[in-house]
Amino acid sequence: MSVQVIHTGFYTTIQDSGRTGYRHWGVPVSGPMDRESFALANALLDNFETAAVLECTISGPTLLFNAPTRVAVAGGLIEIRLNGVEVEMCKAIDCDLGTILEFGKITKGVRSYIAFEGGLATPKTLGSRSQYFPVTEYKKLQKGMVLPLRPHTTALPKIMQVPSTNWIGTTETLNVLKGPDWGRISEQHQTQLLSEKFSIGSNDRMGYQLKGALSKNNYGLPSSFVLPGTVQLTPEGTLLVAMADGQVTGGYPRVLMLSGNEVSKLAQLRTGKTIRFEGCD
Amino acid sequence: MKTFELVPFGEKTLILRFDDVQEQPETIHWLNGFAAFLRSKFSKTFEDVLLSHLEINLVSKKNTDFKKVEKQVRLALTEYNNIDVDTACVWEIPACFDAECAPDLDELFGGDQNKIDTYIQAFTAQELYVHFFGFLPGFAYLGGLPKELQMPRKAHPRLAVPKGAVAVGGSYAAVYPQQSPGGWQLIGQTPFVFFDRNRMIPFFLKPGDRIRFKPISFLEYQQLDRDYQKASFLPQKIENK
Repeated sequence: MSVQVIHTGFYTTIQDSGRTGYRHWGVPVSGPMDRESFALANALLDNFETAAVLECTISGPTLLFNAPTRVAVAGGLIEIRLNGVEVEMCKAIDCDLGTILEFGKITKGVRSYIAFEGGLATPKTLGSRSQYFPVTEYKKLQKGMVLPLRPHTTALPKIMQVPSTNWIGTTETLNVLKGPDWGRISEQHQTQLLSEKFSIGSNDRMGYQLKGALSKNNYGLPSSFVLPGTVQLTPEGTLLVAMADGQVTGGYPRVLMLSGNEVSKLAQLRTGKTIRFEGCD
Repeated sequence: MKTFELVPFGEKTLILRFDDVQEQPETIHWLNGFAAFLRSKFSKTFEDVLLSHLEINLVSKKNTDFKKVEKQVRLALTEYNNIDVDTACVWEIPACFDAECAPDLDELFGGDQNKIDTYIQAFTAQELYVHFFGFLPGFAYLGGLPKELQMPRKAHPRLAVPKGAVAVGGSYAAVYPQQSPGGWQLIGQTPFVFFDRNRMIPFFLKPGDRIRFKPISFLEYQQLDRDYQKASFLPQKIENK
């Protein structure tokens, strides 16, 4: 039972719930950038919460099915064609042997999640299937790869369809808590962090850079622990939000921490979009 | 009994800080031992327990139950016995410090070969210890450098530091586990990296372990590197403490 990668899409990776238990060796936790959509895609197929899926960025892959199975897609709005015929997101899709499932561009949001009934069964490295180089051989999906699937029951899943998530790509405020180094920065910076707008600069699975009107500074700190959602203030006055593949340590003050599932919301925002932080009371 | 404070960091993490800790080998060994003890004792509560600079970070699987973690730390402290859990090893890491492998030494010492030799002699005589890992998988922050061996970081980071480069940045030394951008001073090169996916044991060094660099010639380095490419073996362990 397997799926073959005909085209990879812009940047597609295999992701399960992540690689915990190895941070003390400097290994990032990885896993999906948008954990909410990841959970939704798996739930649609009644999969385990940890089941491995494909995370597509900007555009999706083209897949050939070597066995009949079911898939479900959640997250950023993406066009899906099953043997040339358009099909819907957020519901279980039946794929027969020989089916070609073609994904187009993501038109709302940044990342879409393709779950497979039972989950992908690619080999685990350090306890996880999440792709992260050099822990895994490749950093992303490669053309021609054959992805094994876990055996599964053919019973109908419990949830057949859910409404598409409307927050994707439209978030304007992110809820935050004070970071452990909040007290080390100036009052002016504290006030600015919670009042100014920040625009999304360069970003990837490691981190999102946010640009605003914060002044240059020289807080200088020893290397300290950072996890997905930690917001650091760099000496240049930009903010750096650690994401799924972010380093486990960072050397800048950890001024804020995104709460709950705000990382998922940020992961669906594009370069140039502006956001504000809210909370810290 | 050591006194401590627990500082909340988001919804899942608590930072454990002990009062009056200094950056000394004994303290770091104690902290790393205690982190390992917590990691194994409470593996159901925490997804990760790791040291960063002089503090232990406790990452819960679910949102942190502050009171429960505080109780667990107190309990662990009473049970923790340094002598029983200190399983640190001492490793000897062969590395070449000749000019071919040490692109920054010349500039650091104004081309004075005597000064370079003195530095390398002192560097390789020093026992270093793994304070914590960070930056990249297998990137160990090696503590234990006396003041005179510490070096400022480079003003302009390199875009590509080679895998296996022995480097000094501020008060730490390190070996780059993979090619990456980096701003530390490059003073040597070793075939042994602290993370290798293809090795039977991907990480051989653990937090708290001690290491000593053993100087080898460029020819020896090249031979060792060829051998390593074939077999991915481990460096020599000189003692178990």
